[in-house]
Amino acid sequence: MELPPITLELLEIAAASWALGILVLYSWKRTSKAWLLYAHLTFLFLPLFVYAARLPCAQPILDGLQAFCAVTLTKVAIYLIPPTILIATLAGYWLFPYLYVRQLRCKEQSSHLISTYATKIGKPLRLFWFDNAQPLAFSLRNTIFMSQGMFELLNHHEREAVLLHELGHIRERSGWKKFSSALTRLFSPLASFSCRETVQQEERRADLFAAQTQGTTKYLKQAKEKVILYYSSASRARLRI
Amino acid sequence: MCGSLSTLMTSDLSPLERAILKKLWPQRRLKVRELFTLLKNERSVALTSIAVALDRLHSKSIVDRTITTGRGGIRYVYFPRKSRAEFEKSVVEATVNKLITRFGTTALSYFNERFKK
Repeated sequence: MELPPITLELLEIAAASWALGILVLYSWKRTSKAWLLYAHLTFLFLPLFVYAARLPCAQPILDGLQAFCAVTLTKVAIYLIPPTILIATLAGYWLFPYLYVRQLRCKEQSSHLISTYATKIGKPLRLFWFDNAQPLAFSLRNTIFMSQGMFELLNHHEREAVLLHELGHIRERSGWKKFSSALTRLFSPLASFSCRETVQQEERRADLFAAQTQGTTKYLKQAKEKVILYYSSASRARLRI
Repeated sequence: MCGSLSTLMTSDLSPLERAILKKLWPQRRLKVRELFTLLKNERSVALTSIAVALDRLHSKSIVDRTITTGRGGIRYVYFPRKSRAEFEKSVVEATVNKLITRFGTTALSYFNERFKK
């Protein structure tokens, strides 16, 4: 089977598309707008779609069965990429909190801080506790998960600082950005080099929110020190045996 | 016998884990902070180290834990799975079995001669 030649026009489209892809990646690094990551993926795959659209179906695998043409199958596979990414994104981002609740066997907790902030932003927020001695706290969409280890190690103000830090992530939609960043890294080799700073930027923003709300960095700093000390003790204990 | 048992216990437990068990056996059920209060007067130890050690003892199935909800919030309460005597017996059994598995008739001959004395 003869494939259509890669023409100069196609190369120009590819070069322009990838240049735009790099530009939007640079813009994302400056602005942290998640939609720019999906724009980057679009520009990255655009030349492939243009080429796939030009593929003729001239060589059927079985005579008379045009539908099973290898080229048609290739085109279908390529055209399926964006809906696959879309479905994976939506399903993963919307389903993950429910999956975590089931997997970790979480119990919902009430918190004055959470309910106050939920009223302030007009969105429902939930706090889940899970049985794990390690100090862990993370947020997904509008849900915060906090392990028993956090309750054991931290006092009331320190736990509040951690909750505010996670609320900062929810406010900045860090979960969505981190998820999008991970998805983009999966499909784009270019993004692998520029997505690492996202996590640090989001952590700084969340720390700032917690510090501004509490009026001090003291409790968050103490909480972080205790968590770091816990994990360094755990590493030393593992090395002994 | 107590000296040799202490040595046997050393190989599997850290000094902090042994100190924690010594507090748990008479007291029966303690929270992390309660253990910290008991131990900080005897040795320089951080709350995080005690939390780590208790979690390790729990993963080794030497202690168990339940969750209580009270005025201070949700807390783990740790308690030993076996009494001190039962634990020491299990350590001896495991060690003797290891010696017999490793050294076979040499170990059996030694035990035979040792108990004849």
